[in-house]
Amino acid sequence: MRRQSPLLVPAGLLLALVVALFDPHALPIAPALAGERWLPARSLFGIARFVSATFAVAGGALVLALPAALASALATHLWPRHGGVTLRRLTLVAGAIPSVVWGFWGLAALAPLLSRWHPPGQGLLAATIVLALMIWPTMALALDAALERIPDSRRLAALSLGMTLGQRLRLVVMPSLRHAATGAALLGLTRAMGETMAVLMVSGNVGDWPTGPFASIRTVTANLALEFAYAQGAHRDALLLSGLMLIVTTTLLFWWGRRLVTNQ
Amino acid sequence: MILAVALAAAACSRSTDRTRIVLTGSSTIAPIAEDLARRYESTHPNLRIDVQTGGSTRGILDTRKGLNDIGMVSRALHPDEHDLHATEIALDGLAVIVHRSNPVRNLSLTDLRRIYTGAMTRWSELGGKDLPITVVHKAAGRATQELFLKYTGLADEQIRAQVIIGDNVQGIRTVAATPGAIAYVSIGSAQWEAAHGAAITATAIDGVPATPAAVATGRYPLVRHLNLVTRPSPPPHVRAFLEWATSPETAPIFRSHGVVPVPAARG
Repeated sequence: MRRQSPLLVPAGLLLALVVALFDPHALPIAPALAGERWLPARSLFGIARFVSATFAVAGGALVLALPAALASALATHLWPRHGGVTLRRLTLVAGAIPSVVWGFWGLAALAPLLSRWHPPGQGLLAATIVLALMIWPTMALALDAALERIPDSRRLAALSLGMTLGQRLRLVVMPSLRHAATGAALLGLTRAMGETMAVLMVSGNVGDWPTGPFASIRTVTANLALEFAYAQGAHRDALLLSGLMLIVTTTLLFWWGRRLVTNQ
Repeated sequence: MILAVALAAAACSRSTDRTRIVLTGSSTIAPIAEDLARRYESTHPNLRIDVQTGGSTRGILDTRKGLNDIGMVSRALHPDEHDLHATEIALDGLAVIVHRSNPVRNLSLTDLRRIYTGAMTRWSELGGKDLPITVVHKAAGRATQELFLKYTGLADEQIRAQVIIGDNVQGIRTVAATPGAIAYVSIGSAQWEAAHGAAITATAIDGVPATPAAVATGRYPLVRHLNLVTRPSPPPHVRAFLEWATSPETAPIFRSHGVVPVPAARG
């Protein structure tokens, strides 16, 4: 039972959304979400570009953050006592930085830097970098926990066989990390997909297809944050439906990721 | 006798109970409303005023549903919104802002149209530096976006923007960080941020500077009405607050936010 408790909040949100949508006008809008153009004033509610942007930005962040998380988890684990503990504490602190802080940094520091190549610097690449910085601590801590669970017997056996560091990594550590790495990746992916404010501040939000590093993209969450307070009628229903789709997707990925991290 | 004592006790307990006024809506009006609330509470110790933002549309919807006492709406009411009672409190101008290093300090309506539709893409075409123009536009539903589209006569789909923003502060930060950017924000926000070090400056429109003084004289073209709305016949404590908010006494609060109190002559 206890392991299921983290799902209570998403389940409650899900229930609330379903209740909010229990309105006969909302469901007929669902097919319209498959379209390409989002022009609420003309009753066009296609979220294809927003969905592809969400996956592009979250996937890109994962590609950047996973190697970094793996490296820092291994360093935490292999470093002699105090160094490892310090690194773990730093990772915890980095994981606790609120997303608005990252967003503001992205807007005030990262985007101006990228704009030397392509003004205004906001877009897919900036959002990917900000998200990667946000998700690596979560992933590093999940991997770190998996490393801690490697039985001492196995570690001592490897040492007594006279294995070098490289052999231990290849033959003992990496095989036991395979599930945890997939799980950590899924946890990072769900956090990246659900992130709103930091992305909103650096992604440009025009709603281009994510075809280049400076494409001005809008994610599903950014779309909700930009328009929900102002939406009425069918527009509001379409936003609620897009939110429902997002939460179902991330809840499933999160549940799968959690199982992989905890079941070894 | 017992009844009289009970009634007196009930009356006492009611009078010590703090009355609340809840305002929700426009993020442009919210900071002004907070200052008004603080001043009003200091002379009415039994009153509490809560201010929550969420946009002009929320102000309208909450008022209709009875979720607030007063809605904040930073535009004139639409024809289908006249079921509500509006009290105009101030005029706010919309400033077109560029980076401080941009030498272009005046834009015509035609320039604005060409920039925002992507027909003009470099500042050099306006006598500025050889920089690409980064067009910053507001997301749908904002009162400022509605006003800008109405003034330029453009439809939202005609706009070719590079960045779409949610609020004034995000627009100001984006322009301050991008030498070639152009955006439109509330004159009050632009003045406050520029005075506090943001690298932005407001351009004149067809030769008229974007200042509260030009808004007050009616010469500045991009102007909107800031309203407080209620359901018809609000309770006495709400009516008293509205009367005070539009009295000469509050004019300095409005001026400190860069908006023009209405009627402009008061105070």
